Amino acid sequence: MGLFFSKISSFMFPNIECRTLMLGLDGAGKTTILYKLKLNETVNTIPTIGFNVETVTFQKITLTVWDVGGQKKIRALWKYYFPNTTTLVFVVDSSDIERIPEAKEELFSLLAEPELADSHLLVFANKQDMPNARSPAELTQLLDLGSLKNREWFICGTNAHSGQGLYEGLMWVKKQMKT
Amino acid sequence: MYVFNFYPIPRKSINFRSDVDDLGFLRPWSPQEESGCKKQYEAWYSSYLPIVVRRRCRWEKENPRRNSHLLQRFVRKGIPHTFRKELWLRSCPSRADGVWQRHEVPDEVIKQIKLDLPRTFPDNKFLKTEGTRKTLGRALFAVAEHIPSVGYCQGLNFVAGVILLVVNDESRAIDLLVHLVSQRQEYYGKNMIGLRRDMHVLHSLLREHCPRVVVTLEKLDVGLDMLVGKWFVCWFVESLPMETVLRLWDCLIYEGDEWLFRIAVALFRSNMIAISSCESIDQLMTEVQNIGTSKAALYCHQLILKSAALSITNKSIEALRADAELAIPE
Repeated sequence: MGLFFSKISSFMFPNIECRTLMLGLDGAGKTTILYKLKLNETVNTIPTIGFNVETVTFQKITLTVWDVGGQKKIRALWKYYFPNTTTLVFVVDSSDIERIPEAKEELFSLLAEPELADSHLLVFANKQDMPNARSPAELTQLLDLGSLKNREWFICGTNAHSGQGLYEGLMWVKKQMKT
Repeated sequence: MYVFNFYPIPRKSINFRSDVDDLGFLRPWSPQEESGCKKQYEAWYSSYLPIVVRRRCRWEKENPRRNSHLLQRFVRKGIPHTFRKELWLRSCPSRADGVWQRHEVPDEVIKQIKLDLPRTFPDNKFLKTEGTRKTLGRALFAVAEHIPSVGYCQGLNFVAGVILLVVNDESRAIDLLVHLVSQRQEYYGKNMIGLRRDMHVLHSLLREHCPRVVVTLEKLDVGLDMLVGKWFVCWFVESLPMETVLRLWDCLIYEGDEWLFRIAVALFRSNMIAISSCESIDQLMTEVQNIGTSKAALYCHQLILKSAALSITNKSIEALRADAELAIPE
């Protein structure tokens, strides 16, 4: 009986598809986040050259998450991943204050891309567990998110190891998909 | 000069039930590895071990070093583990010879190197110690010091890691790393111009050897840089099983860049049906990622021999590179 209703449910309310592109500077925690969402485990990650891709299901939303290498040299390849992106997830290392200007510069370059003009922006202020991490409110200022026009955006503090904040971000994505 | 020695004491008989291989990598039957790979790996290993034993006997009996053509044939059939260091270092200059000048390394580069040290083969038995991580850091620093146009590029950490594990002599390992990276420094410089050129070359070779794949790439409008740029940046480390990587590097170090193309074309040919059936970019990405865990990639002896049979040479690549340089914008 439970199985029957489950099938009816998935037929009447199919999962919403969401193509998610996760970018950010190298070492911000993109791959750790990807596998926390996928496996609910903290895996040993290695620098991403090229991409990792996984499908994550969360409350009736199926996200295909592309995690692309963030070192400056290989950022030239980011553009291949732009088409059809529903949500841009930009990951920032909140404790690496020296590189916030670089992160901001990269973020605004991305937002200027025509192929990303219609994407929602979710910012993960990652590594909130680090002692010198800046808060999401401070990063909103430092990244100048308030200046964004014609863009739905949201920032939340995250800790990729514990998972804190990740599902808050996904809840926001889900809300955007419904509207 | 600091020399570290972290190899286990050689056993009289090969213990392939050990959880860790000669270089310190986990075998698939280790508890930390997925159990699904176990049977496939065991079947492969059982068929590969007699090849290894036979090749080692031939190397000891015939001493192929006396003749370059004979040596090439022997290298393609695999260098035994005990001779690999010697063969890899065979034509490698020493920094003490003054071949490479030293330049100042920016702090930003040093910071990037440090960031990636604990993320290089984090499960490897030898590389996860503090001492060898510092050695890895010194190796990557040396590349930045001697080849400033490269600095540090992610991917070179894996290349350096493999060289340190095989050569097991810090000074000579660094000589070899700098030597090999200098041969391909255009891959890692500004705009990765050499990589983009070689992706263009690979596209041409696939058109010749694997036309159905090219039809799919062009239909889906996908660039090879996106799909397999990592193969060339890392010389297939982290993309293929480690024994396959070592067998490839035997050829790459002795014969040159043609082997990056030979192995890439052979892998596409082995997986051609799956790849040319793809109807979406996502599907194509998945199939290309699966190449690294395919049977063709694991059965390295057969893969290398198939690659050797392709009519791809350093000379033909140079011609294609000249054409490619006209085609790609700066």
